[in-house]
Amino acid sequence: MSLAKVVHQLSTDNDFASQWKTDPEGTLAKRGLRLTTEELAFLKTGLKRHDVNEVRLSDIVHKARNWA
Amino acid sequence: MRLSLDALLNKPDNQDLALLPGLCCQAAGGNGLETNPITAAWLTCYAAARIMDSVEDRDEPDGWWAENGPARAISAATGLYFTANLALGRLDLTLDDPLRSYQIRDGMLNRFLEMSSGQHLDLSLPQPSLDQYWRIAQGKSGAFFEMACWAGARLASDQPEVLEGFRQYGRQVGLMIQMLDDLKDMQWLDEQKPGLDLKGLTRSLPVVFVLEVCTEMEREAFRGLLEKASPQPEDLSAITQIIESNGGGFYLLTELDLHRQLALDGLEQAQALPPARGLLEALVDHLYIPT
Repeated sequence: MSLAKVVHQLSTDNDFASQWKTDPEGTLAKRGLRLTTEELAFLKTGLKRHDVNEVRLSDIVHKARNWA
Repeated sequence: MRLSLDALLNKPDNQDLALLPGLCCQAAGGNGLETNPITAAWLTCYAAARIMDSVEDRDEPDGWWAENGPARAISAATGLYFTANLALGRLDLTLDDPLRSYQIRDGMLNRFLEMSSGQHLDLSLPQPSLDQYWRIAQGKSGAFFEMACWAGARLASDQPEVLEGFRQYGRQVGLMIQMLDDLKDMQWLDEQKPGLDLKGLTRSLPVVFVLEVCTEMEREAFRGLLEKASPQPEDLSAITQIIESNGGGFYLLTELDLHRQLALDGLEQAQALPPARGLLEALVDHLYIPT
C-alpha cells in the first residue's frame, strides 16, 4: 500500500517529487510513509530509468509479451 | 480476479510452468520423476478450481457443460478434486518415507484450503482495496504456485531454509502471473478491442491502484467511466490516461520488477542447484522481460 502511495505522490505532487530527488528517505519520513528495503531499492532504480508519468501500459505489455 | 492459468495449459511457451514441481525437486537435489503424483494432483486441482471459478463468476460456460448447465460442471470439478487426492495417495507408493509422504499431502491440501479462502474473499468483496487485492492474489495464484514448488522441493529436502526459498520462488511466480493476467486486460484496453469487459477491469491491479490512491472526486469520475462501459475510443483512452497519469504504469512496472527479483532471491536462499536452477530462472525471465 505504501509503495502505491509513494508512486502516486511522485506522480502528482511536485513538492514531494522534488524533495525525493535530494533525500528520498527523509521525504518518506516527513510524510509518514514507509517502504521495505526492497521496495525502496527498486523504486530508486526504477526512477533512474523512467519518469514516473511516462511509463505507458503498452510498454509493460510489450515486456510481458510472452505471457500477454 | 480469476485463477487464470489457461495459458499454462493452452500456450506451448508457458507449458514449462507445469514442470515446476519436477524442476524444484531437481534443483533441491532430488529426482524429478518422483514428482509425478504431485504434478498430477496439482494440475488436476487446477482444472477443478478453474471450473468452479467459471461457475462462481457466472462466466460464459465451456462447450462441454453449456447445455447441461453448472450442475454438470460442479459434478466434474468434484470428481477432479477426488482424483487429485487419489494422485497424492500414490506418493505412498513412490516414497519409502511415510512421514514425508504425509507432510507433502498435508501441505498441499492445506494450500488448497488457502486457495479456497482466497476465492471466498474474492467473491465476498464487491470492490477489493489494494491490500485486499494482494491478499486475494496470494491466496489464489501465490498459494497455487507456492504449493507446487514447495512440494517438489520437499521430496528432496527437509531443510527449512531451502524449503522456504522454494516457497518464496513459487509465491512470487504466482503473484507475477496474477499481475500479468491483469496486464492482458490492459492490453485489450490499450488496443481498444471490442468486447472488453470494463466492469471486470475493476478488479485488475492498475484499476485497483487508481481507486486506492486518488481523491474521492477523481475516484467517482473514474468509476463513472468504468461503469459507463463505453466502447468509444475516447472513453477507453481516458481510462488509460487516468491510470498512467497517476503513476499506475510505473507502479505496475515496479511491482513486476520487485516480485521477479524476490523470486530469484528465493532460488538463492534455497541454494538451488544447476541445471534446474537455470531453467527456473529462465522461466521467470520468459514470463516477464525485466527492466
